Formats: sequence, structure tokens, C-alpha cells
Amino acid sequence: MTRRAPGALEWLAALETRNRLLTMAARLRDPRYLVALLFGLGYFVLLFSPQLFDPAGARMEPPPWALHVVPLLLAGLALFWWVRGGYEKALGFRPEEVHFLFTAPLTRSGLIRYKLLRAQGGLLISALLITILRPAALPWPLAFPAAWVMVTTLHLHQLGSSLVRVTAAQGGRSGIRRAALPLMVAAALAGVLIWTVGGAIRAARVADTLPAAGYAAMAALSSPLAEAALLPFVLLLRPLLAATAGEWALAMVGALALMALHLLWVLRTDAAFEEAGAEAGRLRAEMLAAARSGQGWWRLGRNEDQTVRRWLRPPLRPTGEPATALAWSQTLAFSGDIRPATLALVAASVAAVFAMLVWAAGSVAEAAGAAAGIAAVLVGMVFIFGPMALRYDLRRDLGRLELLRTFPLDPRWLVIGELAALVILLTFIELALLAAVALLVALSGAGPDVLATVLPVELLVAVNAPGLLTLQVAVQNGLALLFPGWVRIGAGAPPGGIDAVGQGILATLTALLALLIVLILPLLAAALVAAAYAGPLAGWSAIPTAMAFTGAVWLQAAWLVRGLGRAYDRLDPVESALLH
Amino acid sequence: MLEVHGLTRYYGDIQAVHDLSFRVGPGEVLGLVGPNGSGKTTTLRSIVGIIRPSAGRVTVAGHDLERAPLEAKAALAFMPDEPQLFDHLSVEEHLRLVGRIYGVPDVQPRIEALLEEFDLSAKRAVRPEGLSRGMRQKLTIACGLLHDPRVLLFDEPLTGLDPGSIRRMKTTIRSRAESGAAVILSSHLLSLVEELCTRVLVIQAGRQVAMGTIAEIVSHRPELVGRGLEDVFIALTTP
Repeated sequence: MTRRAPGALEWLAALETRNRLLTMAARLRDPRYLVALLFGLGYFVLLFSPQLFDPAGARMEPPPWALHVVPLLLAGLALFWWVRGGYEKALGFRPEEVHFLFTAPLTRSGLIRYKLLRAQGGLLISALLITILRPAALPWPLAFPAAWVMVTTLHLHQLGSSLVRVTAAQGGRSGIRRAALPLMVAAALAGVLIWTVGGAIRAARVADTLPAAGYAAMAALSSPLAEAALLPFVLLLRPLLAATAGEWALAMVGALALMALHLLWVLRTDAAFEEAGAEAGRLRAEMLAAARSGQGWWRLGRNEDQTVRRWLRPPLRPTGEPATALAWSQTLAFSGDIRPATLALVAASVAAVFAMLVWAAGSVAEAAGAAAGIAAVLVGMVFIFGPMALRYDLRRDLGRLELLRTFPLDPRWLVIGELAALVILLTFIELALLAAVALLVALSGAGPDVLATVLPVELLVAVNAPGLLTLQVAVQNGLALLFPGWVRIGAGAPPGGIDAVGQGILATLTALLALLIVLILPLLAAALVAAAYAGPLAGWSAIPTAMAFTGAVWLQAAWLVRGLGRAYDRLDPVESALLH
Repeated sequence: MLEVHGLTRYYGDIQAVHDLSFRVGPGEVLGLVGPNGSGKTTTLRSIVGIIRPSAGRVTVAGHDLERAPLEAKAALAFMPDEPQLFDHLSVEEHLRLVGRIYGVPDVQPRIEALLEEFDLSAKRAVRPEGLSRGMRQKLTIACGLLHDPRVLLFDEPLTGLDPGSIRRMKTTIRSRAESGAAVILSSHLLSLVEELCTRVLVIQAGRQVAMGTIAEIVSHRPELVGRGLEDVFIALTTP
């Protein structure tokens, strides 16, 4: 017979943290990680330099609406947890925890305490970020505990709401009875908030000006009922906005009391969360595994509407050029990641931005002019950042290098197949944006002289878009092949940590530099042709200059793809650390 | 030692396990066999408390799993088919963790004995990423045995093991049963089940199809007399 010793879970949390830190420290012996860490640290220091080096001067007084709007946002977040649940983050136990801890003689409250302990790493970082970015000139030794109490209480609320949901969902009638009180409180809060927000919107709509609308909305949010509903969230926020140490101390009493109540609630909720926790952990582990194997991690665990995907799924003929099968598989990966909600959100955002432009400019024509400018900027941004952000190419498949190597394909054709889908997709986006620019310029009422300038430029960009995008995508993939340790392989979530941020910055800078280098030849070719048409023939130079540029772009692209094929062929999966 | 009564588990409208009842006494090795998706893993996960049964009762060493989970779990060990280990803990730290969770007295000598038994002594400071699939499997089983459980549940215990380790694993399972433990062995390796198990429980679509010794099962199907477990299994589970 055995005797259970206390503190096993605390010991586990401490041991894992210590070992993790030791691993990270040992990794810094590799100059690649050290340089990345230094870059990452430098980035954060630069980002937060006003707050770090001028603590008082860089901070604004919190606006008067902060104590109304921020609690409202926090309340909205809490309601979201109640409605949608927060299993993945709050209750998710890793598969190894499920195996070792759920089958062991440990109490549920012990497991919850362990979960809270393990969450502290993320909560402390969140508190640190809030402390750095705090709006009031509160000294950091006071701001940090205030921020920690706020994020910890919110985490406890998320955990508590998840436990109540589990009790209600799994416990049958008795479960619903046990969860009735917190569910009723949450429902009442939701009712008050919806009524309050509705009142604020109605009040704002009847106002003549924007400031008046703001004041009217604030007045609606200050009603006694709304203030009562938002009080817990105000209590959490007040210490961070305190102006003096005395004010802070008084506010902390309320915030700490709220945190203690939450802790009591969470520890006393004896919900049978094991299955929900195991399921959330399983989903999380599947996401990680999917990320490592190159699938889209964000697709797992969701009920997807197949409607959009169906029309985006092209059929594949049973025979034909093998490389097209690779392009087809990348297209399927893209279509699998696109969801109706995403498309609806994009459409709604575009409509909202245009509506705001119309409201701000006062007329559709002026708004169209401004929107044309935005669309033109987007054309450039898609060209530079599109191939970095979308990864439906070789980078996605490199994690499956062993499988790729078994395909009877010439490396050059394999690379072409892998890059083609992304180039076609981005070209389509660019052409759509260029069409939007032309349409918006026409809508803006611009004269024929403007159109005569815009349309040829658009034509030049449209003709060169596939070639330039091939160059960009090839550069991105070339970096992945030459420096696999620096580039994210597969479709997984980006790695965390300061060194990962540094790696990302270095990889982006290198990609931009490489792009500038490969553009030298096309620009040089275009300049030479333009120079040859100097003098009386200068008026005829546009077309041959454009052709020289386009030809050089494609020449470079072909050369790069050929080089990529060779680099892929030489890549050693073990030495390059693509396979573990 | 282990009693399962009316175990039922639904996933939405799907009935994964239906009214399963059986008992495993001290020294017994019960083979749990069934086709893929027949509910074996759900049954094992329900017995160890990872999954909550929709209905039914599980009693371990006289303790009801629902009413006295700590006492019941203290007498249990579950060895899953896929080793689940902490990335940042070494081999020895895994064993020390289990020792601490279960409050194992004289833990260090037991750890040394298990490391020796499973050929893991040279890997005691290595983390899971440095272990082969078979070594991780052995570590999982060593962790399960550390607190000297009275009920052992093995899910495909031989996956990834080399021939020498397979032989040692069989000896381990047999010796634990001989020392009084109740063992459930879930496996698709019917030769292993035939070799080690005193009784067999065949399930299909979550329902019990047959239970007993192979001779008892065959006695209800005269056409199977003289056949091995593989033939019996296929005859029982093929519609």
C-alpha cells in the first residue's frame, strides 16, 4: 500500500519550468539562437522605448471614458466565455497530464490548482506587458501587482465559466440544477449589457456630431443598472488607473476580494471536468501534430461549412503532368483553410471601411478616390507581404520532405509544382485589386488625363504581377531551403518566445534584401533599353522598356527556380533539422 | 478486484459501449479483444476515470470509482497504446513524479529495480525526445508499475518493442498476475492474448459478444472446436 505525499503537482510544475528554462539556456550556445534572442530583445526595447526610458512622460492620463468602455469590453469577453466556452485554454490538459494525473489519486481541486499554477507563466507575461503599456503614471511596483490581479481574476473567471458549462452539459438534470445559479447570474449580466449597449447606440444615433454621440453613449453607460452590472470589471481596472498610492491601496482591496471570491468559486466547483479537459488537450495536441505535419492547425476541432470549400476545390485529372498534382494539393490546402466566416468578415470590413470613408469625405466620389489610394497601397503590400504571410508552397511541405523525396519527379518540376498555386492565388488577388483601383478611380470622377496615367501603369503591373510574384515566392522558398532553421516550416502556428520574434525579424529583413537584389537585373535591363531610346525615339520607349523589364523578371524567375531545384535536391533532411 | 457493471457510454447519439459487465479477480489476466472502433479504448478509459460513463459502475479493489475515486485510482495503473510523456522530464524524473503522486515508500530502490528491469538505466537522464518508440513504451509501463498497483490495464503493450523486450514484457505481465494483480490486456495480437490471458472478452460495436476461456467460448460454437483464437475472433466478429 502506498502513502500519498503532498505537493507532487507543485513539484511537477516547478521541475518542468526549471527544465524548460535550462533547455532554452542551453539552446543559446548556438549562435543562431543567441543572435535571434538579441534581435528579439532589441525589437521589444525599441517597441517599448518610450515607456521604458521615459516612464512618466510617455504616459497619457487615462481618458474619462476608460472606466466605462474598458469594463464593457471585459464584460463582453467574459460573456463570450460563457457563451462559447473556453475549454481549449482554460481546461485543456495535455495528453501526458491526462495519462499521468487523471488516472492518479488526485483531487479535482488539486488538478485545478495545478492548472492555475501552470497558467502563471502566461499571466505574468501579460501582467508585465500591461505594466509596460499602462496608461497612468503609476509606478511599476504598484502597477504590476494590479495587472496581475486583473489578468488572474479574468483567467479564474474563464476557468469557472468552463467548469459551470461542463457541469451543466454533462451532469444531466442535476448538473443543470447545480449550475443554475451561476448560469442565471451570467444570463442577467448578459441581459443588462445588451440593454445597456442598445441604449448607448440609440443615444449615439440621435446625436448630431461625433463628440455629442460619444457623450450620449457615455451617459447611457452610466445608468445605475449598467454601473451595477459592470462593477466587478470596474473593480478589476481601478487599481491600474489609480493616481496615487493611497488610491491604489484602496482599489486593490476590492480587486483582491474579487480575485479571492473567484478562487473560492473555482476550487469549490466540483465539476467532472476530466473528459472536457482531456478532449481539449487532445484537440490541442492534434493542432500541434497537424502543425508539425504541415496541415492547417486552425482548422481542427471546428465544424466547418463545406459550402465555400466545394467551389474552391478544383478537380484533378487522373493523368497529366505530375507537378500539377502538387499545385492542386496546395490549392486544396488553401481552400480547406478558407471559411465562409472569414470571407464574410473580409466583405464586411471592406464595406465598413468604405462606409466610413463616405461618412468622413461627405460624398461617394471623394470616398472612391480615397479608396482607390488604399487599394493601390494594398497592391504593393500584397506583393511584398503576401508571399511571406501565405505559405501554400514548398515551405508548407518541407516538413514532409521524406515523402516528397519518394516522388519520381525532377526537382525543378517539383519546385514549380509547389510554387505555382501560391503564385496563381496572389496574382488573382493582385488583379482583383488592380481592377478595384480602376473602378474606384472611374467612380471618383477623375478626368481622362488621370485615367490615361493610371491605366497604363495598371497594365504594366498586371502584366508583370505573375513574374514578380514568382520572384518573391521563389526568394521566400529559397530562404527556407538554404536556412531551414530560420524559416517556419509547415503550416503551424508561429513559434513563441523572444528569440522566435528575433528570427522572424531577421528572416523578413533577409527576404526584403534578397528581393531587392533580384530586382537589380530587371531594373538594369529596363534602364538600358530606356536609355537606348533616348532622343527623338524617347516617346516610343515605354513598350520596349516594359518588355525588357518583364523579360528580365522571367529570366531571373527561371534561374531562381532552377537554383531552388538544385538546393532542394541537395537538402539533407536530418542535417537541416527538418526531421527530428 | 475489478468489477464493471452495466458500463455504457454514448458519444452524442452513438453508443460506443453498451451495458458491459465483467469481473477480473486477483491473478487473472483478461484479454480484451475486438475490431477497430469496437469500444475497447473507451472501456479502458472509463475504467481509469478519464471518461465518465453514461451509465454503469466501476469498482476497483472494493472502491467505487465515482464515489471514492482517490482510493480506486490508487489501486490502478493504465498503460495506453501511445506513450504519453512529459517533454521536459527525464526518464528518472518521470518515475520520481509517479512516486510522489502515489506516495510510494522507498521509491529510489524501486526506481532502480524498474530501470534495470526495463533496460532503461543508461537512459535515466534522457528526455523523451531522445528515446526510441520502444523505450518510451517501456518507460510508460515502468511508471505504471512503480506504485505496485493491484489492477493493471494494458492497451497494446508490445507496440514498438524489440523481441527481447517483448519476451521481458510478457514475463512482467505474467509475474504481476501471479503476484495477485488483476490484469486487463487489450491487444490485436491474438497470439499474445492466447498466450497470456486466462479469459477473453470479445466486444463488437460496444457490446459483449463472448466472454470466458477460449474453451468455454468455443463450446458455444461447435464448428470452432480445435481452431485458434484468430479463427474464433473472426467468426465472432464477422457479421
